[in-house]
Amino acid sequence: MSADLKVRPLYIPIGKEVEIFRAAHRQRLAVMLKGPTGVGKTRLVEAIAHDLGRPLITIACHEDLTAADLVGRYLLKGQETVWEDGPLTRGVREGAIVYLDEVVEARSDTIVILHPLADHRRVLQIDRIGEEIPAHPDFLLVVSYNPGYQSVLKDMKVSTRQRMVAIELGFPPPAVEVEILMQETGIDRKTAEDLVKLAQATRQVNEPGLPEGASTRTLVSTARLIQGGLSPYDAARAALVEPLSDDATVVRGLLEMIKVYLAN
Amino acid sequence: MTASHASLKDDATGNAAGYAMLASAVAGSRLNIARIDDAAGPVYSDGRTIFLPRSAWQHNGHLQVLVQAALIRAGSLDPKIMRQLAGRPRVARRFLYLEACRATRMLSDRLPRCLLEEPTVARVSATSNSAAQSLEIAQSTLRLPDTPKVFGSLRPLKLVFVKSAQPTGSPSAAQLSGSKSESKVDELDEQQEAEESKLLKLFSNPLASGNGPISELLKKLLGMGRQPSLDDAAQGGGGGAEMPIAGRQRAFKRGLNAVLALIPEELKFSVATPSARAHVYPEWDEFQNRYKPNWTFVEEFLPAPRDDRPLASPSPHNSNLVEPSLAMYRSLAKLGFSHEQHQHQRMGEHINVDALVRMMIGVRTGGQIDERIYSASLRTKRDLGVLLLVDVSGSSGEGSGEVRRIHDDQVKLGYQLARTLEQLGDQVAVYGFQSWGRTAVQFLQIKTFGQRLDGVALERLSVLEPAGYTRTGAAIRHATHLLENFSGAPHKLLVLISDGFAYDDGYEGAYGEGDTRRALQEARDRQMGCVCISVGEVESARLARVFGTASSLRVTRPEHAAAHVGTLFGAAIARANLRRARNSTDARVASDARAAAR
Repeated sequence: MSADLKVRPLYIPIGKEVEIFRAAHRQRLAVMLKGPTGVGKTRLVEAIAHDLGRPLITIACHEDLTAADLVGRYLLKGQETVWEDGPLTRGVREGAIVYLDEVVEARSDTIVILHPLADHRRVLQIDRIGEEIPAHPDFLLVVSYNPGYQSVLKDMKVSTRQRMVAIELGFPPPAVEVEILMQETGIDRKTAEDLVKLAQATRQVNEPGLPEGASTRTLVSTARLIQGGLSPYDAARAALVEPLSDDATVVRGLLEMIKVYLAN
Repeated sequence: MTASHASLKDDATGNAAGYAMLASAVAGSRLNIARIDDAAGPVYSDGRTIFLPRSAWQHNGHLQVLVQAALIRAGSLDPKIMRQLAGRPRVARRFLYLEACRATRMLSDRLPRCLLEEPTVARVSATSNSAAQSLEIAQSTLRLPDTPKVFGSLRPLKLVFVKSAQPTGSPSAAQLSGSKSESKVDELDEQQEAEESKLLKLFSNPLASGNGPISELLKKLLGMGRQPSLDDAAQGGGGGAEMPIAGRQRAFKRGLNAVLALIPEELKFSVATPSARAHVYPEWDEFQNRYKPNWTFVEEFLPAPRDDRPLASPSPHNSNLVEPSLAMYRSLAKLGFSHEQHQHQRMGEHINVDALVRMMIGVRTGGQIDERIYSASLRTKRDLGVLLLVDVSGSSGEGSGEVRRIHDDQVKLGYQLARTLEQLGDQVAVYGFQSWGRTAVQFLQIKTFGQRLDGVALERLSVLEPAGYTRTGAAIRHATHLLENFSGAPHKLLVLISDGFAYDDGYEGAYGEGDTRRALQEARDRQMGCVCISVGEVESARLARVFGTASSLRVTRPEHAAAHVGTLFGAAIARANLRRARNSTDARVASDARAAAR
């Protein structure tokens, strides 16, 4: 997926992640974003792409993703064979920011093609066409993953990891998260504060049926539903509780928490 | 006042699980909720469990739960301070006022608006900045307002008892109410605490302190069991500390005709208050040939870190956590159970169009020709969910000095199996279990199916300490539940690492063996493979009687298991698959018969 972002997506820094990202781009270093789901990894990349004025190409990784899906393949057109660039090759040629989301979902033999791009060589080798494409000066490779729920088999190879600059993102501090909710959805401060407290409480719970607490993304969805006319309870149930767990006991517990935290 | 179990099903007025999650979220640690039969008393806690009277379930109970949880979070219930409050109700109430004010102020960014804006809470003001300062002010003559009802009450003596009785590595002393001392504390109310009661003498009771000559003598006679905490040691045994109870020594031959049999004829516990969050299971009565419904209560806990080592600290070298051998990898790598699609095959069911195009391009251009243009379904995918269940009952603590404890060998084997299976791509969960009667079967969570075997899991594994008894049937039933609902894999295997000796309150001999056999049968009926691995000197006949010869393995050293586990696991899963195939055939035959009848 390729995007040219006309409006800067909202991203409020919670640390030095923007500075590190920009410095990495200036120094032509690949970036690895780590953090739980819904914490703002994609949003950070979008904001940086906008600030740098570069197109953003996002690739959602999965275990059937092949090297050909990334670099391109020959297609048969009539009696001819025609080479078509893949998204990575296009990004390398055009100087885009290529963002590989959930990179550990891809097989390591696929990811290894990133190595010459991610180190000092900054080239993309395409054996199929016998070409070695030097990366555009503005090309930036960004990968992301959630270390919390990856199995050991889906870990990134050390040789891949060490070619990148890592930025770890956590949930924003309460005050920042409140601001995000208000600016993103237009919700009033009081409701935003209650929602953030609720989310923080869910992040403290350690239950087998609840691997992760409510993310900023689920809070934004909840606030949107409230703005869309739902009661806070119904909105939180639909956008926050039900997506978090299928465990009946956990769901019941979360609903009780909603009642208490969104009582007003 | 007596405590009674408030199950989720019979709880018409409140949501125990909901309150428990709410309290845990505020306290930052796992708390239980228990309903008490007192009609209108205040809410109080023992630091692990928050006790709610009937009235609190019906009206504003959540506010009192929040305050009690905040007190725990703020460190207000420090046993050292509680000792100074025991028997002084006026000072305790003043202390509660000051600490509740401090805790709600300190946690205002996480407490809900409904508490912070509650009129009596919003009105309060206090100037204390620490629990110690609150104690100082509470003991002074400074005038303070009455303590609002919404703050609940403080039971200093109960807090002292529970803290002191907390065994190292065991999660909840509230669950350990099998001891007489704990039962008595349960019955204390605020007035009783006001008296300089006889119970206070337990603080200096040489038997209860665990360090007196009588205690030492009994320890030598009975063998060492639970390890007292450092806090207890520092306090000379601590008030209300229980004398560590030896689990039970297994009876097997040590030398010529030597039989060590220190197993008491019958264990007796008073019935502990099960948490509302406990999982309830039936138990099979071998003698009456029937199930006892809703008989056992199993609850999950995180193993507590040792007092001297916070969980977050780097894990020191632990000699039990030795990396698995290549032999173990080889043994378990042979297990491959499901089909998965492989590209680039010379033979197969489907043609890969992309590969075909590539080959044709090679043919036309005279370049390299790759003929691997097929995709094929090969039986290589590991679709196995394994739950490793380690027996951490008191008996596994046997062995000292040059003789390694069985517990250490069991933990070592559990770790090696978990590490190997995880690296091979299986879904793995690791739990320990121990029990104190049918209402307090504890599942110690080392690693759930979704979690990794990382430093936190290793820390939890290393703090496990043998204690309590072995209600194997209940543990197997809960493991079955977890495997079925959380493994996410079509093939399931339960691996019990234990001496296979079932022994608990009302759970001895043929009764315990019968229930364990029944629980295994229930798991196998759900198409799960079940095996037991024992390390050390174990009665093989008993293992075979309960688990079957083909489903049990006895090794003298953990490293000897490597050569056999592949075969053992493979056979168990093959039997489970056979059962699945039979069930499927039976279902198809029945369906065909129904269709023919129509």
